[in-house]
Amino acid sequence: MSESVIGVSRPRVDAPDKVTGATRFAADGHVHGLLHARLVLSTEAHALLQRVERDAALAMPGVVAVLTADDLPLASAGSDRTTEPLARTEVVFAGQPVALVVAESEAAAEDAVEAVVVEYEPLPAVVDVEDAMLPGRALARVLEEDAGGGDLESIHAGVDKGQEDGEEEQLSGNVLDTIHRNAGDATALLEASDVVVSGRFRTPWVYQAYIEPQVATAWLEPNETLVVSTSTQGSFVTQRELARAFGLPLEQIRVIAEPLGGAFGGKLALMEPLAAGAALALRRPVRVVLTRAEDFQATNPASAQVTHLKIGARKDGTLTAITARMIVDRGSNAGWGVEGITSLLVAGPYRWEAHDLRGYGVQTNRFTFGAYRGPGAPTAAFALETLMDELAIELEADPLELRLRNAVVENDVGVSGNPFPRMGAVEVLERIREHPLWQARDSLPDNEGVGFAAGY
Amino acid sequence: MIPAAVRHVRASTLDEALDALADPEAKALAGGQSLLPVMKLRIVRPSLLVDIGRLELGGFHLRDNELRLGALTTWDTLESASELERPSFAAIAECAAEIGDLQVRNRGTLGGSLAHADPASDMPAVVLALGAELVLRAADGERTLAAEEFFVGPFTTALAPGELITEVVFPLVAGSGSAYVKVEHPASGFALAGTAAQVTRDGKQRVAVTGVGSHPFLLPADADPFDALADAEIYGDRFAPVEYRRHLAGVVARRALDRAQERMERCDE
Repeated sequence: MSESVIGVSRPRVDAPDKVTGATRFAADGHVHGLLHARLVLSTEAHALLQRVERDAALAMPGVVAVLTADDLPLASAGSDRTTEPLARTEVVFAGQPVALVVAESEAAAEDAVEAVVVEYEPLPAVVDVEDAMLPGRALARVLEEDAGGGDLESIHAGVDKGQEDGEEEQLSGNVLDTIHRNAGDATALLEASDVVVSGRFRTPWVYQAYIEPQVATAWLEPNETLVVSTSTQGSFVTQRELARAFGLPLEQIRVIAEPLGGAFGGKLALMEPLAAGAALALRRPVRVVLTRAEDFQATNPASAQVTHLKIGARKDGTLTAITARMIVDRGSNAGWGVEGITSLLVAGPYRWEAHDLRGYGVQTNRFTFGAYRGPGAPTAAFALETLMDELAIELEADPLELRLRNAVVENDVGVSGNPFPRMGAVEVLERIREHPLWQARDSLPDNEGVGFAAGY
Repeated sequence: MIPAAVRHVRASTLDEALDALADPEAKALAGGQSLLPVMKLRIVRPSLLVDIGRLELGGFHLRDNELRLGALTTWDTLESASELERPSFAAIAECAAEIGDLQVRNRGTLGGSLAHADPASDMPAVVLALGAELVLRAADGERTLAAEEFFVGPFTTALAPGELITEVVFPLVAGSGSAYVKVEHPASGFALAGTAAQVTRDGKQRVAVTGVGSHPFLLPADADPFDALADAEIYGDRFAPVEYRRHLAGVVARRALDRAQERMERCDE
């Protein structure tokens, strides 16, 4: 038997280079003949794009091109950020890239961005996700159908989506996806429960806050291979996304994943279509680097969400039923959402006798939505675990014992309909019970406390 | 994050600087810790930067009844100056030590910060509470202005076009104690509410508040801070709504007064 490697500290292989400043990030590489692109971002949340006036910018020294969507060799007419990296006819969020100014230096490009004049015809902006669902409400996108999410969805939300029941509820066209999972009569069981608690939980958009802003550099090799050097979480998914955007065979695209200065779900094929599109159009190397302010405006934070949740229990602390209505703000332009996974995870690692869980993916004129650290999971756990603590108070039960009593074990069937694998919920809770901090929770000074929350 | 094109001249004498500043599109560049960030955001775009960084406008001159600080004195210098250990001036060093970070304090200057007049910057409260005067030079002469007359609005002062702050003069109030206390925004370090206090042997109090309104201001002499702030015009934002900020200002004012009082009592001047 070899010795266990678990619990043994190992030096990070990339640490010496990072500590000594030797690491070269995606914006550091020298490329011969490099052009620098800067973005013209939409100042409107929702509008028809009337005209992009570029003559003044083109007349400035060092400016090579001002590119709009029509100038990029895009292969399809989709409206996600891969197939529509620059807005075509309809702007759907404030901060959406509208044009690329390409120049011999970053300074020249930045100067020229100010000289590009964009004319908009404003449309009603849809910003309240709950209101946006109501029948008859203004639509966040009036011209184009949303395209599929390509390969990006399978990375972050590849779960069973429950029953698709096109039943009852009247909803506006902003609701792009509805999920319904249900077993037993949850409503009746809640009515018959000894204790019921409920709440509405609103969570905001969350920016991933990687230290290195979004960046990509693209060029064409003499054999026409498109090379993209980039800060990315997925070189192969980026390769496939670029193939989809520009109709190129995979073998003609090479994606180099440079040392990553943080990503946390946010760096998947956002900048690459812009840099590659400009490089293909101009046949010169082009780099796109966002400033922090641009990164806040133009990228893809995690969804805001509104969760209506109700749970019940018997006097002895056995959980009875859970009902949830989870409204996921997909923002604009994303072909997928986390309403499926969040409405699954909201049941937590607990056994329920009945459940009725609904998820809604709703388009608005907010950011493009992206992933962040377990998409849909923290928002679900926040709502459920808050109510579990309230339930413990109502039952005058210990919050840990309440959870232990109901924690799933291997082969319990979850709300997905599938049996749980061995997942350690009970073991983890038991370890918390023994923890000195938990043991000492009643003898802490005033205004101090110990709490915990479960999630998976 | 790239400033618009700008010309740069380095002045080697004060007269040279004042001549160059006669250009209405010119801005004086001292440590650059306030000016350069707003230029990078293109909020400010002067066509000419007059670099005064090498003029001899630094240093301390402590006399019988006053402390004269050169406008180019950096926060780092103020933070560690033995002259500022005495309770009357302790607020100056205490305030300087809490400004920005090490890099900012190494470059940032007293005069530059006062002239920039960010409504949330720290030192304006100290110059107000300690009753300082500002020496202003222009090509055609020099004038002296009380700090109370100097700050008139957000990023707006009584500096006339072409004028430079050359010195800040703090009167020595024998036997007094002073302090600066702020609650800062955790990301920017700027004051959500900051107050400087001066307490004298005869029981007089001066309190100035920064970070809560259009510009830093003095509270009425000897008033209870909470009472005095009740009717003040307070600004709110997403980080600190109006009433929270009003309360916070009262809290830090009380703390500053307590600390100034303690220092006064320990004082053997």
